[in-house]
Amino acid sequence: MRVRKVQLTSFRNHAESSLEFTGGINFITGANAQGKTSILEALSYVCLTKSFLQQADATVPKFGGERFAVDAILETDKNIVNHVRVAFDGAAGKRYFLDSNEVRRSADVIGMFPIVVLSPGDFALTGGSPAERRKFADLVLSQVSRSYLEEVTEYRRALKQRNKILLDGKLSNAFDGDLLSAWTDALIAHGSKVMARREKFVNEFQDAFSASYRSLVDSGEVPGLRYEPSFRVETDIESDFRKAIRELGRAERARGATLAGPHRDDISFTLNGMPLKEFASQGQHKTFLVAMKMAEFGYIRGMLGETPAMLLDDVMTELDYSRATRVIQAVGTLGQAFVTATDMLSFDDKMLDARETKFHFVREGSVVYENA
Amino acid sequence: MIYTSQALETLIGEFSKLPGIGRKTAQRLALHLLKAESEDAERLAAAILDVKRRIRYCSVCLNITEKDPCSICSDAGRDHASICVVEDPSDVIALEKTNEFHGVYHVLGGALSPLEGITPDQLRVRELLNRLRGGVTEVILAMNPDVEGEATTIYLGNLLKPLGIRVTRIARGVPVGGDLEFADEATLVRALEGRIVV
Ligand SMILES: Nc1ncnc2c1ncn2[C@@H]1O[C@H](COP(=O)(O)OP(=O)(O)O)[C@@H](O)[C@H]1O
Ligand SMILES: [Mg+2]
Ligand SMILES: [Zn+2]
Repeated sequence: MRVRKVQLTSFRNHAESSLEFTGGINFITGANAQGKTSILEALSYVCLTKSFLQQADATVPKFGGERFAVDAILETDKNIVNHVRVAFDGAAGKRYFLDSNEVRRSADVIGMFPIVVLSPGDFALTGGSPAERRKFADLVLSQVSRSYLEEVTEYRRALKQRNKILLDGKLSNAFDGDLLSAWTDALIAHGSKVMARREKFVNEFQDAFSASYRSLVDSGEVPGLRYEPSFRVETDIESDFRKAIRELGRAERARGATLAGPHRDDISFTLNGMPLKEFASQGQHKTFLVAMKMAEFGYIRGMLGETPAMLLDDVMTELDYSRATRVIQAVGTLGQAFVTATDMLSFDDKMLDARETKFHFVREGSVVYENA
Repeated sequence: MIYTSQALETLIGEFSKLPGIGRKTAQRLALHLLKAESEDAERLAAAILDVKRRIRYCSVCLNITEKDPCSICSDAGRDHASICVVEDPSDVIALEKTNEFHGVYHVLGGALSPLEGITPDQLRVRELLNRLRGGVTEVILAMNPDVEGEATTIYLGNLLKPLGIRVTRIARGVPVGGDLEFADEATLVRALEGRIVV
């Protein structure tokens, strides 16, 4: 997939910006706070229906207004050209149009235009809380499987509803056992499917991950990934889930919350069998992250048969030079990449020669082309 | 903007209480009516009052109706031993359009949703149980295919099974996250045919 053009209207500090992209590497440069990341954010709206920055839609309209729009022309690997429009209005909310037809559910479009994002926010992936790793698995799986996205959405809903019953029950000290049990069944039905998919994903992902890791470091280090559910799975997920909920009954009522299930999953990283979190250096953490993102790229491409576009925000400053160059080269030879940076000097000539490149210079919410 | 007429302000205020109507739309509607013929305004006012005066809930199935019991409940040609439980009156309309179901309905008035404060007491569950005394042999649960509908189906299934009635639910042919009323007729027919025992 490649993005041919994008137009931002009243989007963050961009009043009206149009960009035409190359199918190779697009360098988006400019000083700090000029509007570079916002361009990647706009691409995220087009491809994932939402911001990768996890910010509310209402924070996006240019200060003083309550609307924004992003229009884009995208081309799939099979050369099918689509026009996407995302329009937000404070009153009507966000609306997504694919070739002028409104798409009502994000699941209908997520995965059509896959992207992989590496931004400063991702540095919490290896060392941060388990929530970061669940988010990673969810985002990758949502793009490759529509049914996963639906399943995880329904699980979250069932979880919220069940937690409300537990919390209300705790506060009033009265539980409707029949009501709780109906929601427990719904929770387990969806939660078991989510867990089975995540477990399978981690196993499948392992190979792609080890390969990318070895392409980054020449030492004999053996990296590993392991799926860590919130309860022991001995027989099958569904009956062990039920058993865990039964055993936690009293604790759940005391806490007023659901204490087992995929919302408490983790994925652990190991290096030579040792937990990464406790032993790894900063540099090893970064290598892990880059290897994860490269593997994500390959995994999505393999599953969908559609090449993701790579969005790399500030990687030249966040990663060290050689790691940054490697990612850009690796993905840039396979597909389209968008790379933000504060100066052009940091780009290596070899990197620029490797593929078709284009520079987009951003200043105060406008895009300037030198030769235009 | 504050208008100089209290009457206009009141009308705008009333409009903006309606679902999906913000203040701006309310202003547009009010100003439109201001320009309209008096007869048009009167017809609208009368229609609103009519709905409130004439429409009531059927005392048997709790669907909306003008006469009580409703035309479905008072139809002797229908199978009164088979009750299809739905969330809303609009679901009855959707199922009726298929011409496939010849039993009667029971409108629950929503689905279980603790987050919105909807517990079994808020739904017409007790009314359903009362109806089951009179020779009912099958209950079909036709909730919306979302998590709330699913939990409601499980809840009612657990409640009804011990009563020795055949309890089925419609198959999940309806797209996930969709509403029953938005499902096309062919899909609904398949869902009815493929119903499974709870
Ligand atoms: N809704 C908004 N309206 C106007 N400006 C905004 C809005 N949201 C953020 N900004 C500002 O836009 C500028 C550009 O942000 P960003 O795209 O992150 O810049 P860069 O990546 O170039 O450093 C920042 O100064 C930010 O404060
Ligand atoms: Mg930035
Ligand atoms: Zn009736």
